[in-house]
Amino acid sequence: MTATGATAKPVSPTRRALGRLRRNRAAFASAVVLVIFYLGAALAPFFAPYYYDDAAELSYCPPMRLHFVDETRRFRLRPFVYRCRYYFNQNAERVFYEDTSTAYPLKLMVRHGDSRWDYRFLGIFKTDLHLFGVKAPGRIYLLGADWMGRDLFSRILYGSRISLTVGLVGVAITFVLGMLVGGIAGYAGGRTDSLLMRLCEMLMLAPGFYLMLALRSALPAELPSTQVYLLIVLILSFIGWAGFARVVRGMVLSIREKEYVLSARAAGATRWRIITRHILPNTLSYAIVSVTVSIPGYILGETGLSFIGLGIQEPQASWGNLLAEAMNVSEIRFHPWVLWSGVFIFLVIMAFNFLGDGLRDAFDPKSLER
Amino acid sequence: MASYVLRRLLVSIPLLIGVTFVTFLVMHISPGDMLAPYRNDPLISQTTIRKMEAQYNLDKPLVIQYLIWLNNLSPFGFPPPPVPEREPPAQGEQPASAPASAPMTQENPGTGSEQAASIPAGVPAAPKKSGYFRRVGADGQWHFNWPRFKWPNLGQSFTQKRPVAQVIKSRAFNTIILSLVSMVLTWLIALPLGILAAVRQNRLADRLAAFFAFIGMSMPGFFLCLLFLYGASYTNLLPVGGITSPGYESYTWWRKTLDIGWHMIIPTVVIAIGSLAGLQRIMRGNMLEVLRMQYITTARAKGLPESRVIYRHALRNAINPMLTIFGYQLSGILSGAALIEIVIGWPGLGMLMLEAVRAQDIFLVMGDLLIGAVLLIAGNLIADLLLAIADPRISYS
Amino acid sequence: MAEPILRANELVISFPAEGKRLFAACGVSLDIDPGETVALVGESGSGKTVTSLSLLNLVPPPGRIDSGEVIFEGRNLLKLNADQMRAVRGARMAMIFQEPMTSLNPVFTVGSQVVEAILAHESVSPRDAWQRALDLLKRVKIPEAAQRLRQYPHQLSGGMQQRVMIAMALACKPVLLIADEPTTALDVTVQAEILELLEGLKRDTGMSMLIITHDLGIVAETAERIYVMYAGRIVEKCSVTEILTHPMHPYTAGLLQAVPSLEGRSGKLRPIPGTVPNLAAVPSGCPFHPRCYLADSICERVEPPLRKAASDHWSACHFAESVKWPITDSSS
Repeated sequence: MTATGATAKPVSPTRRALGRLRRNRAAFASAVVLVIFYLGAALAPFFAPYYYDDAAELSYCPPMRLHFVDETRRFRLRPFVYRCRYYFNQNAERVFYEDTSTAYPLKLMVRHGDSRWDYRFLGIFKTDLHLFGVKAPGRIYLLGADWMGRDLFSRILYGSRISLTVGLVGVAITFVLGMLVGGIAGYAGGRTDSLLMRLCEMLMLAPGFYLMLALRSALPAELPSTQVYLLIVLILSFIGWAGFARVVRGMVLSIREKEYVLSARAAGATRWRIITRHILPNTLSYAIVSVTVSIPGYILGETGLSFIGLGIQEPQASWGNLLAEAMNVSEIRFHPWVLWSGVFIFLVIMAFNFLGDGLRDAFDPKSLER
Repeated sequence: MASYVLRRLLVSIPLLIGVTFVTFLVMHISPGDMLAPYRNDPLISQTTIRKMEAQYNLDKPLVIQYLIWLNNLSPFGFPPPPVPEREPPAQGEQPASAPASAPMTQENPGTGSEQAASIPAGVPAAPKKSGYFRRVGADGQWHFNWPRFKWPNLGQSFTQKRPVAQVIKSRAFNTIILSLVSMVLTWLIALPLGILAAVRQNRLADRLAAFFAFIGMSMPGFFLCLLFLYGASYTNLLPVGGITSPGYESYTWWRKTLDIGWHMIIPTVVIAIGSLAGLQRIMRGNMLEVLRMQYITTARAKGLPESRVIYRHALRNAINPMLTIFGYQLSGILSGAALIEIVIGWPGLGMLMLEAVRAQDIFLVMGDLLIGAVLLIAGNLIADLLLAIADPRISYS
Repeated sequence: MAEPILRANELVISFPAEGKRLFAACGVSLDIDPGETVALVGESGSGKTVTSLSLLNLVPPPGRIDSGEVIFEGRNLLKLNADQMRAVRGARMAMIFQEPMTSLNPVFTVGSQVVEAILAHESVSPRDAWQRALDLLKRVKIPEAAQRLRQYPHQLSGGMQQRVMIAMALACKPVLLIADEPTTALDVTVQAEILELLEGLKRDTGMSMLIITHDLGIVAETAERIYVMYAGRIVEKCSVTEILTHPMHPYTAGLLQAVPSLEGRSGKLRPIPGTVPNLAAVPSGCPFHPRCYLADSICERVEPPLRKAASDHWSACHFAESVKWPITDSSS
């Protein structure tokens, strides 16, 4: 008879982890949600009916309702909006009402017609196609308008480009720096290790928010938005990488003593090869989890900065500076829809947290099932 | 133990120097400085501006400026020259005790040497100014300025025309009480919830706790703050920001405390919600890990009641790693409270930092950052000490 | 023959993994008579630890005891409520574990943990309890017992820690001691001392012992009867003298064969070919059949029941009678 034991096919740890992740419904749903958000960010000009700077005389217009039944109680298949007009009441406040004289049906795949707002789809094709819109002079404001009459929905979409990607870029920088420094420090040990760790501790000692403010103030307040964006990313990574490097170093220290590293050394592998081929891949599972979980921190950093006016400036949109309008607390009851960007921030962060938690459970061999 | 503490403090010093130096550099890289509004004002003469520059040492090289600041801060160093009460007398006036023709070529690292050098002969010389190394004594002669023990001096805030230390003191108190109360609230709620979630793992209590923990962790603090303020302004139940109500001055001390407490509700709740979620998860994780340990099985095999197993054997071990977190959390709250302070309008260190940074008031920024870093170090040190006390396996001899 | 003090019947213990339920024990039954030492033998993964935990109803969740009963002192322990069970644990039936370092709580002194064991079951004054703890430590031959009482576990050597565990277990004079691999984590010389200590204590108190081990040498030294476990099932049950001379299960024969001999004959070591099955993929029929030199087509189809193969000797093998010891070399 055969001498072999059980014949079950061995499953690699990564496959098993992915399997566990897929079974975690919350994490899976979060991943889907995030994909939707990032898709929205990538294709923002397409999804948004208006450019982020497209202002109109509709300051703080409330969210427009999509109607299916018109004044004559006739059901129309295509939803439509009415034109929003306003008048000033005795307190000199704007009161909005719907002008039911003309109905503006919602159209899909519209062309804007105004060449000012042409954009490059995926950065390549020049076009002015939008997913939906209404014919001018009607306007469709799904989430209402801000103080300049700009569509909040569009601004949120454009803002997501900044707020969502700052996290990714910042985390990428932190990841590379942290792995590099942590790996070298952990493997080399001795004085290199001490020196690098002192450096990290020094950075970790600086109170993050204060340092962020100080660094941001070092730069002129008026900078072109792309530069501000890059600088915010750099500042955030500058604060964040030290903590990550320390943990990587701790992990490298413990892995370094393991037998497979010893056998690689005995086989004559160079130090660089050992670090990159043996040690760092084993820190990968922790690194991925750590990175996913820290992205919310970056998003909060950027939105926080923009919120207090030290980040992305007008007229560029960022979820943070959209919320800044809400700072005027006594007025907010008149236009609470400006809080929508905060809701989106919350949703994205929650999605990242669920995903990160799911990843952590998936990679942890000790996680017990129900 | 004492030697350990001392060693830690000594090690912290170069760290603090590093942090402050970096910030110093960064502040100076920025275009413009705190005298900018004065520079732009056409009514103010260049000489006045230069005097002010000299007074705040802005005309010196960067490194010297930093060293001067460091010297002023250090408890042992060269006492800084006294800040002149009034502007030194303008050219042409005769101060009472000015000796004629004092050698103008000597090194006078104080002020005004260039001016004096350009005075044509015959005009009375400007009076001697004390510097860091030489001091003019009561007899009008130079004396060497010995380094000695002195109170640390953080410099003068330009925007508030007060010593930085004074400005920080009042603000620091506000931030500290806010942070402490938030910490207490956070720990009071998070620890029991974490234990509950671990003991009833994967059952309703655990799921609910996890759910709220997620919401709490994901909610941006400043957004939650806005929502609360919105609710407050709508319902008039809670004050809409600030630290005191109008009329605070006339309250009795008891009512004053209550008033501040009332204003503290929204910011503490917001801060607590943000931090307790993570803490609860960590506590739960620790408890779960400890409950898997062999000595817990031993305790049960001994026939101990389950409550004793959990609250004595498991908890004691699960708490230890939390103590390290205690220190980091304190630091984290001090740092994180800054944004909430700004949104609420709580006059603390965070708001101070924002104002100082906007005005580029360099000494205030440096002082604030220093205090922030010191509080962080203190938090970490306390955490390590607590851990050493609680875990008999660790010895710091 | 006196009534066994412990009788476990058809224990089935399972735990969930990767969406399925894995069975760590399938219909395990054990008897322990008063005053005797019974050995439960098997390789890692055979289910012996889980079985021993189930005797005290200490199987950690998410594992659970699906069915079976544990009759001890006239009651089914698995049906007792928490308070009743607590009264049994430590007082009537005690357990010591494999790794003494992790079995003692690191943040409490050794003495306080022993005292705790006493105070949990007997209402004596703390002073008396501490005195008893001191006596217990002396009884397990810990030198400088008075000082050790106030020390922490990490300040003691492995051997001393295990002695403390034994002291704790015997604090309330149980009638049955379960020892799960008590010496595996210790040096060989210390092993011998601990075993000797256990022997002596057993003689003095007349308690029974269930010793779980994978080391046949220890079995030969200490036990009177033996149960052999494989893949969660009892595959052989008899007296120790019988098993060493006349095993009636191929697995047991293989185990004996694999022990290197100190006498004369050099030659290759003879491990049992193959590996212990993964609980998720237990072979059909007899779980040992893929590794068995006696296996035939029936072994793949029908799981052999534990049947009486000789006087006071049970074996779960279709070909129990054909098992030869030593195994001749003509096998593959």
